Amino acid sequence: MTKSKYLALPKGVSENRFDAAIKKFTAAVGADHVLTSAEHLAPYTKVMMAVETAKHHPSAVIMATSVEDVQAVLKVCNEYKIPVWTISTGRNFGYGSAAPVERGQIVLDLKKMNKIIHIDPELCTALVEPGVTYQMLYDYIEENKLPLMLSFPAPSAIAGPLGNTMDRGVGYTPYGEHFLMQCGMEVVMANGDVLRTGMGGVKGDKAWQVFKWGYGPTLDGMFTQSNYGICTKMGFWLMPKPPVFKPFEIQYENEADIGEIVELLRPLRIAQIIPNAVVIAGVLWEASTCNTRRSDYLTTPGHTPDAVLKQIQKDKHLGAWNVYAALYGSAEQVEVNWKIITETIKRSGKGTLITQEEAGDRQPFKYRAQLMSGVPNLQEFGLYNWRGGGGSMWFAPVSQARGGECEKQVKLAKTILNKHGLDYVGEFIVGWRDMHHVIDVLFDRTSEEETRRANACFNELLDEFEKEGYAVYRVNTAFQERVANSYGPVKRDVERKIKRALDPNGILSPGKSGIRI
Amino acid sequence: MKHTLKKSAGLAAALVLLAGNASSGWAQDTLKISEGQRFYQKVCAKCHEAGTGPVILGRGLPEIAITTIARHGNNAMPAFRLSDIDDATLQDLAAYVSKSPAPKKP
Repeated sequence: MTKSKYLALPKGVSENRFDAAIKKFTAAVGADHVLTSAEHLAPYTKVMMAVETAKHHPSAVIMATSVEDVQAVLKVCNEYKIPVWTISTGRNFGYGSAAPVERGQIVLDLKKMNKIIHIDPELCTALVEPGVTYQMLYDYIEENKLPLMLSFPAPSAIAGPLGNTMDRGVGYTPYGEHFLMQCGMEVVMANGDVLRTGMGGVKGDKAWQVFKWGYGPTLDGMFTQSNYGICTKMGFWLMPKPPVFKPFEIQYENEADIGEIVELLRPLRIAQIIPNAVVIAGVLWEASTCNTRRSDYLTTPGHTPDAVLKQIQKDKHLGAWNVYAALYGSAEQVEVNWKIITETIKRSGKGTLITQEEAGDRQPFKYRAQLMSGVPNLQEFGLYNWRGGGGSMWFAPVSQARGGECEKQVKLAKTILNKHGLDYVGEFIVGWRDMHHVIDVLFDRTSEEETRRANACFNELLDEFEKEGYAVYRVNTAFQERVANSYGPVKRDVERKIKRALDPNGILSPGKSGIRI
Repeated sequence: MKHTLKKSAGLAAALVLLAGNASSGWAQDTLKISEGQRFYQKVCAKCHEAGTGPVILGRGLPEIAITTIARHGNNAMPAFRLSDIDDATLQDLAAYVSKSPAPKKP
């Protein structure tokens, strides 16, 4: 890497040329909104991935405050062929955080575009800008006493709906499949055109946030996990706050119970007896989020032996698997469904039911109940303390909601992780018919040796799962090119053709999901 | 790669405060507290008073340590950007944390 006054330079762009581009960016959005010093770029460089930090260093950061800013930035990017990586709240922890997929891209930070444009408490819809966080929405809803409930991922207090939905993240309420609840987008295209999806293009329309499909091809999906445009407004549906919310846990003693748990839950989930995205969390996930550190038990390197896992399970009053779900509705509805659930568990002869009254303020039950009822918190960051050192990469293969499949995935993942001296820290998030099997590959990033092992481990996880017909639904920026190959050459070719048509200079997040011109 | 840290306050004045628009500000503040203290309560406390991060109130931590770690992150802790919290608010937060009395034991 040649020496430069910039932390990095875009690929193929000389320092002089970049100077000229920076001048134009400054003229467009103001000097205060163009950052180039190492000091100001530092918070954009904290990656948790098992690769060299410098590989993801940005060359500059532009903070936009309006759609016009975004258009002006893209004009300069097109003129100077500067690649631009867009973030909303930049809290995609374990997936790359705020750093670009490739060294030298400028970061377009939309955090300051943070207006809650509209919340309709009757139709239960919202329209927000990219910088709006779930905490801001929660405060707004509370302040205005709106009868609405949010759905969000665990870093809820600092993450936001637009970014999470655009990356097809999930939450824990009945509205937990966030992209399913999205309705209407405003997207700035590479040439500066502003596209509104769904009903948004119709003059005088009022149905943008209530009817998803519009007319002709429905385009929203192609802007998620992609680099075809920059979403500057997004509509989504909110759940009416139910009169009764009843969270509960079912603890299972043995790791081998996973198959039975899934078989038991699937019919309840598909029939909407349990309406929310149920979680089946492994013992280490739960231990970490009630402030258990590996160093409390072991100082030796390598994976944590099963005997220690059992001891933790006992000490912290956890199951080998911990199912969290909730009922929502009127007292009568909840009562009927609770009866079905308790009888189903009883019949199965396995599993200990724990209610909120029994759990009290105990963690991790408390934060799980908060996640299932839309109350922001950051308790899940406890995961990063399990091993310490700040390394985290989500390995998230999709599976059918079948007991045998889930059992197979757990065994395969644990074997590979343990082989590399790392632990299985995983949970299943139950969709209607699928499982997001979410495994946090945790490692000590301050140890070069452990970081190398984590990288090798992640590669092996991808390879071995692929051999069994499994692929991840989302991945950190260091592995996006690799994962694009799992989905086959035809899909890649179609994506490239679309990219070339919409962004002929390839300025928008080149490399996102492996897509380039 | 190491970068030198310099204090910079120049940018702060022109920047909009976090959540600075009418429809999205932190709600439910009945007490008059500073922007820094508000940020601490809304964000930092969710880890630093929940056992996830270490207790930072009442320890007389140097302000520079607080601002540096906030901007860079540390292990489990995320890094906070100018777009999350401007320099003036971060400085105010650091002063609040540094000078705060120790929290009462439950």
